[in-house]
Amino acid sequence: MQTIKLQSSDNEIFECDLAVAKCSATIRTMLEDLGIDENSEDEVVPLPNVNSAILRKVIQFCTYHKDDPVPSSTDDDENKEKRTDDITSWDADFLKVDQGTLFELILAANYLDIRSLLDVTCKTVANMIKGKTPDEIRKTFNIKNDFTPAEEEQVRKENTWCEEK
Amino acid sequence: MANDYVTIHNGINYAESLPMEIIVKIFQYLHPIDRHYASLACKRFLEASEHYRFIDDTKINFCKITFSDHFTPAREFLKSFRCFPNVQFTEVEFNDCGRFFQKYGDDIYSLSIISCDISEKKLSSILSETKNLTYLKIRKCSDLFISGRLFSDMNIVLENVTQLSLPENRHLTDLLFNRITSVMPNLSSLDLSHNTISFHKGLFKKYYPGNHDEELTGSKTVLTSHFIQKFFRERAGKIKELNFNSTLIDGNALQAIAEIEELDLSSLYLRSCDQLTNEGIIGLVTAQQNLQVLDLSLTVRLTDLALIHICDTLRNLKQLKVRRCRALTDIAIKMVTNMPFLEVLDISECEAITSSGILEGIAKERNEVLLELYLSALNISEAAIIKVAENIPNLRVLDLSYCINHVNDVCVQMILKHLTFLRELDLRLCERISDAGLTGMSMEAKLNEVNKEVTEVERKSDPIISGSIYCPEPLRPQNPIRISLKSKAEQEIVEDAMRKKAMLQLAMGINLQEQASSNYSIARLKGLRTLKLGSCNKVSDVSLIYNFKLAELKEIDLSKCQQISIQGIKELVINCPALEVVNLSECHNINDKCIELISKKLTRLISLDISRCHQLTDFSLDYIAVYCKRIRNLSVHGCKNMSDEPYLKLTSLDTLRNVSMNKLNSELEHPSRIPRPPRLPAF
Repeated sequence: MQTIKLQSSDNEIFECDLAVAKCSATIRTMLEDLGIDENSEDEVVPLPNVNSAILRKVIQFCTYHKDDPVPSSTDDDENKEKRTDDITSWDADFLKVDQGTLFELILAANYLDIRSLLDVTCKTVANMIKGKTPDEIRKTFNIKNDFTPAEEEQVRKENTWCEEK
Repeated sequence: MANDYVTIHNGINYAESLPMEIIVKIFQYLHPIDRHYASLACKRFLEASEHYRFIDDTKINFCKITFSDHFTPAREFLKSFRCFPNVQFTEVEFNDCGRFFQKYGDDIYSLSIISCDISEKKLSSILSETKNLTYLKIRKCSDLFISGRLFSDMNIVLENVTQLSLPENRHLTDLLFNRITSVMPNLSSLDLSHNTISFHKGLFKKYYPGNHDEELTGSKTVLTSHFIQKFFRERAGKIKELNFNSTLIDGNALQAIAEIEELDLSSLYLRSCDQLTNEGIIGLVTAQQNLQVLDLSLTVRLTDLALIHICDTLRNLKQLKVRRCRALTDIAIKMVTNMPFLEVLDISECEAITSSGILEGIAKERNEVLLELYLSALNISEAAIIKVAENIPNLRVLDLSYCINHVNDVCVQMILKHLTFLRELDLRLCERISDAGLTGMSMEAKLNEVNKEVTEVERKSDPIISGSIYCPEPLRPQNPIRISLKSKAEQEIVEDAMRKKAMLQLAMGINLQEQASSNYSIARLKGLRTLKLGSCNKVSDVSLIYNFKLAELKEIDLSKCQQISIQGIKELVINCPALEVVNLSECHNINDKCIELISKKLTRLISLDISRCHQLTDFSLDYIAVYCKRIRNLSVHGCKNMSDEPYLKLTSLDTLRNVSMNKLNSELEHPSRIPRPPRLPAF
């Protein structure tokens, strides 16, 4: 089985299956564009935007999902129903992490272009928003309310006329 | 689920530091209302919510006011830092509002004017500011058309308008139709529903007796199909969607339109068109084979012949609605399987349809395409409903309301087992459903039995027995000699209450009873948004207490469920925080305390129906006045212990639009909405 070496931002080297690394479209393109020889043992792919703790999680996720069918481009259809209740129990367990890790996973998934990981992390965050009031959302994510009282009053007045379409 | 995460309070703001495209992606997974609440958390979220993908989320609906730059609300809106792509005016009187449209005109993308007092001049001046408008709707604005001068001095062209909707305008004439459509050269969708249109050729001769001038410009008094057809001929390449609901369109006119060369329709709405004939529909289908949406509901003359032709010819059809086409039978209904892309099927109230129409038709084989199925008021068996649940796994909407005879706990269990993607479930008046069906408690044995003898299910002797099976021993008439003097209805009420008590005990001791539960509770439908259980009188607090966690539930109908009381409401308001529409009408056990809980906890509440809840007093109104900051519709009709003028208590609510009180009864206003009950079982 072919392996590849990945280097995190804090210079830790991870050796993993080539098939696992190729879950990342970014790594796939790098290998093709840079012409890194897949057979050369010493070649290391640097990933300066991902630290070792997160990279470990990403590799764990990709190892579990490496045999999943690749989603076709039509799945990106904007009209496709967006559901958040279809997270598998393995993914849900995998994402039982602190918020910092969750958000770093999102950034890593975005940078490494791993669709399935980005989807499931975004769904998880969406689930944390659902059913909450603005205040509860702020508390959940530690967001500062940057509306001035006047702006808040303005928005409140406007929203008395606002209806779902 | 959110509680599983550890919230860090070290000052790092992760959510806000995400790139905008990721916030937008997260927001895509939210329902518009959740997106709305998220947008109020901080400015960055507000910005994300204004992404073009979410343009259709919300509309601003100015309602029952005088609209003027100098007064509320237009005056406040002039200070806004947001934009408003969708604007609607309902029962509005227009005054000096030039500045509002100068400021927002360019951002307005859809404009609806409904039942308004608006002059031709005012409309022209508004439209001259809304240059990017793509959708225009004018409904029930008779005054606008009465003079016949609309757009007569208008020199602008609304190039971007592709959708025009002109329903229910009494004084719409040929002349006006020609003029309005001439300023909108790129229309692809036209809605002329609920208008008086003369479709008969003879009538055209009557109105145009050789008057050549009028034949060119159009009559000032009538709307005929002559100019509508002429319009279609001229625009054939662009027109894709037509709506003639509730008009007198006849077979000949429909066929003439359908056969226009180059016309290639994708959607056609012909609901409630009494004059339509089979020949007309067959002509349409033959000429327009690319139709994707066809609504023939309430088209009484439709028969099997036409439907078979539809099923054989329209291979691309995605939506078919033939509600209350009473002549249809199983023979034609079975053929719907010929359309491989069908996503929406409405065969409600077709009273001649039986179980075999379902079993040998839509539910015969596995169907992963169908998303919405409406089977309201049909006389179909338990076996047919179970087959639907088993074979159509991707259903988002299932309507079994008024299927009085056969939807029982086993059916509900099979729905909960298989249809976990449901968004809407309508079980109104399915009176045999009890807590057992919704919670799964003590259902395991029953389900096993069904699995074993699926084929024998229909032959079960006494259908009523399923309700009594769960009754604890003391309920059964112990001594057959003792004759009850109570009426049957009274007896039922007592039994319902006893059953509830027994189930409640079961719910509390559920751990001991685990082996008996099927584990298919309503909580499996995690994405459920609408649940209607009106008149399911066996459903009690137990259902709401045991595993009723529906985080996305927006609408619940528990009307006439007499076993619902404070105990259940207490859990409901915690488990379903997203509720916006709550119907508790005729729930006689609802008291002021319940309304206090609902008002305080359901912060999103928009519509509350508590009509004929006799225990409620003015205290309820006070709670609503203080806590329901978003409520728009309130029905307190027949609450005899409230004051006669409830709106006096509610003046603090600036969102409230409609209060239904003693005089009005919304149900009586629309008697046609209640279908006839199906006939008794035929087997």
